[in-house]
Amino acid sequence: MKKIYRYIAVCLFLWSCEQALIDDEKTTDPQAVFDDLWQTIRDKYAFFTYRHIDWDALRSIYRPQMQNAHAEKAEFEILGRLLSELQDGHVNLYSPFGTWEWVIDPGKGFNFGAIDRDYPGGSYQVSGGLMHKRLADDIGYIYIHSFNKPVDGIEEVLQKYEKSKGLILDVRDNGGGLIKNAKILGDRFAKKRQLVLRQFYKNGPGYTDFTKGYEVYTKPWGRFYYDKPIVLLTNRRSYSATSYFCVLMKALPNVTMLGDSTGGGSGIPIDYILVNGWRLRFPASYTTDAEGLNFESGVPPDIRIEPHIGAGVDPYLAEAKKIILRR
Amino acid sequence: MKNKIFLPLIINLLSGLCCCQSISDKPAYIQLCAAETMLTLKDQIISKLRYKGSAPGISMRFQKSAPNGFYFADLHCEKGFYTRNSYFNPGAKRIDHLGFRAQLTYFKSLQSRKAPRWQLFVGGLISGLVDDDEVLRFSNSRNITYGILDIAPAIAMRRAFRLFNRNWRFDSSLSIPVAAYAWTPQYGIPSFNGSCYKGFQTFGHYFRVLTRAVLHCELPRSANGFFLAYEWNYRQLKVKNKVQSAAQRCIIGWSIYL
Repeated sequence: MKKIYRYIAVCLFLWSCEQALIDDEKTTDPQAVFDDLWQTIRDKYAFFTYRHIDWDALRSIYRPQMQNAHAEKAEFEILGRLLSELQDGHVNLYSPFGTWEWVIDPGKGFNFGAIDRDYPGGSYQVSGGLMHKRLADDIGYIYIHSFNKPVDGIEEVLQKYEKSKGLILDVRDNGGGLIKNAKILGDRFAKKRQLVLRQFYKNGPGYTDFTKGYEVYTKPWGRFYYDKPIVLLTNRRSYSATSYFCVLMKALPNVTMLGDSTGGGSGIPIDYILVNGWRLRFPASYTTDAEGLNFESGVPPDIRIEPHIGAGVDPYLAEAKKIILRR
Repeated sequence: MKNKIFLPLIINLLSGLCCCQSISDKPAYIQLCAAETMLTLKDQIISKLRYKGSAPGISMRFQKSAPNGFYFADLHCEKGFYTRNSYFNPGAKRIDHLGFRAQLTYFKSLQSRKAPRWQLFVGGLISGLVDDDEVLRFSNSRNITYGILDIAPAIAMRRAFRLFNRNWRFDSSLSIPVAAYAWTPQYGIPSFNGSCYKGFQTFGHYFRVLTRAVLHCELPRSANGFFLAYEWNYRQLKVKNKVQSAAQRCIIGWSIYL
């Protein structure tokens, strides 16, 4: 019987090795939480050079404030103020009692209801993340509110509008979602394989430590190529994956981007769990278009028009219809 | 469905305890195993916190005697997830885990005389594994994939003993590969292009311990051998970020003699 105890002892020894080797650094010490957040951002955040931010200087401003924070909510507010210095819509801090986020420039208003009132064309059909209907003058209208929903249904939607005079793709107020959905949709409108994006990832703690640019090409798919004019409507709330989508679409010859610059968001955010269990989200990469433009601050439109919604009239949509009918 | 899997295991377990009388030394056999793995992970790409998890799995081993030793080929796969006991958003703390391991090991006996009470072996193993941790994220999910191929010296011990008036066999092995060819995600976790860091890892950047202890008792009449095994392995990889993981694996299985 002694022998079996020996074997059990060996197992317990190994188990205790595991606890010793892989320690848990969980703490609620405010200074440790601050240091973990500051250092993680310092090493991995992608836009210090782009935004001309002196992160080391900010440490000396905000770290002393943590010494006076005696409650979790006070710590959360100080960390939020520190993160607000980044002015980045992809930066978030999640705690059990709240979420901190940077509100990107909202631009002027967009009223989806106005489209219903002023451009009647029957009720909408919904196909995954795509809402669509036929407007007057035989123009197809597709509204994409988010890239979190699947967009594979675009094939059936395009078949419906195959004979139309043109298409209006509306991504105003689309805050982003899954990049793969933006890519699937962009690929459906592409005619040939072409370079559209380059992605650069942080690969070291230095502000300029990035990988080489990984090239992203369009990959056309679908039963037919839609060669009619397409107008892409954007505003400042078109953010993140939507900016990716706009870069993909702008590269196509039959697409006109109309409206305001997108909100940008060219970095892919990653998650990190702080030593107190809160979740930090921030971009650790940046992306450029094929010409090398980093669109972190927005994708500029081909035709910029001043956004205003007056008496329920949507000037973007009116202009988009004119462009299609002119062609 | 559960009964179909576990009933034969339980029958084997009970019959093994009741009927085991002697240890046979068959030249070759296949072992079919069910395993439960207790996982520990600390991946500083994600956090400095320790994550615990659990993963059921299945294994298969082919073992064959060789002149003055033996060799075996091992296949194992498991699927589960890590969690962290926290008040936090459950969607953020869960990390899916998919592990594969393939191992080829050869052991040569150190003793010259036949069938001593203690047997010591030295040998080596070629081992490969892919560990795919999918971190479920708020907006973009991406995989953190580690692949490791290592060649290592190993030492094994085998001893027969009597317990509860039955003959048992105890096998154990220890292997410390200190160099490996590994591929890991980049610093910023790229997923869109699937790119990763690849390179030959040596001591200082890579460290790994593999241990295995097996209690084996046989069913002489049906020529089946029931066994219990315990494995512990630890892995540490330092490529820009330190990644530590450990697994304790409890295995139940039976041998089919060829």
